[in-house]
Amino acid sequence: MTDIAELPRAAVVVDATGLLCPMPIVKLAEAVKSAEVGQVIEVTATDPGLLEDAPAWARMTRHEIVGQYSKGDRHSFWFRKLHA
Amino acid sequence: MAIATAPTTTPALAPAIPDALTDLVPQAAATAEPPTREGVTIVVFSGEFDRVQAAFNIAVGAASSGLPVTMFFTFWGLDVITRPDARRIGRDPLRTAFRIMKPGGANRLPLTRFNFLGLGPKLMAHLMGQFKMPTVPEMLELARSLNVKLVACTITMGVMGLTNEDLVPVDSYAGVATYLADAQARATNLFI
Repeated sequence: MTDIAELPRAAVVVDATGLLCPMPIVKLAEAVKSAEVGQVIEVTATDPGLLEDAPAWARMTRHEIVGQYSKGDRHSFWFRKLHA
Repeated sequence: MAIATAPTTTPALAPAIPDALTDLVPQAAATAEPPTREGVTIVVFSGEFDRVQAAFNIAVGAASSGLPVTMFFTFWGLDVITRPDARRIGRDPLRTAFRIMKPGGANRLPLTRFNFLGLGPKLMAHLMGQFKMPTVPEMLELARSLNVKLVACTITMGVMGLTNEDLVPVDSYAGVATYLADAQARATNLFI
């Protein structure tokens, strides 16, 4: 887990708390699609599936995970958009 | 005179060279990297709410991961893309009876288990609503908005007395060759 003080500032914040699979990924994909290349997108979900789904999504879409933070049942990931 | 004989042997060899090259071409193709397969096809054969929900989950997840997705609706899966207000009468007697008994529609799919004459799906919808899970009609719209390719199987449409007007808008009405052409190009092919 990344130190919270070192987490990058997100240009776009996605609140997917309370949503279940596949909706956090759908919301994340929407946000990344509308963001600029190089921007950081933060997504937070309460679905623990995100802990595995976020890295899997990043591998498939070839975007980069630049941070992760969990507190209680809230799990956040920071993605950098690497390409259009 | 040795020099004079040289040109006569060259034309004799010349036709052999193109033949040798064309013989090499299939070998070269066989040793080349196979084309990259990417994306998903799902044959939606079932018309039950739980199975269809799983199919849409995969389709929407894949589309959100930037993968091409085709959903091919056949047999009971046609219930998913049948308009809830599709006409039930005006067909031959058997198909009319069939449509009255099983009208179809994404909003009235049964469960594979715990159906209890329709009570099960209502309970399940209530529970899923608590988790803000999209309903099947919402998933269908979501899939469409994510460019999931929706294909209706024409042969089973005919069997069940369905015309294009009885279905929600789809990308194409087609058969097995269309499905296979997509399946050949994709890495994941599912039958649900």
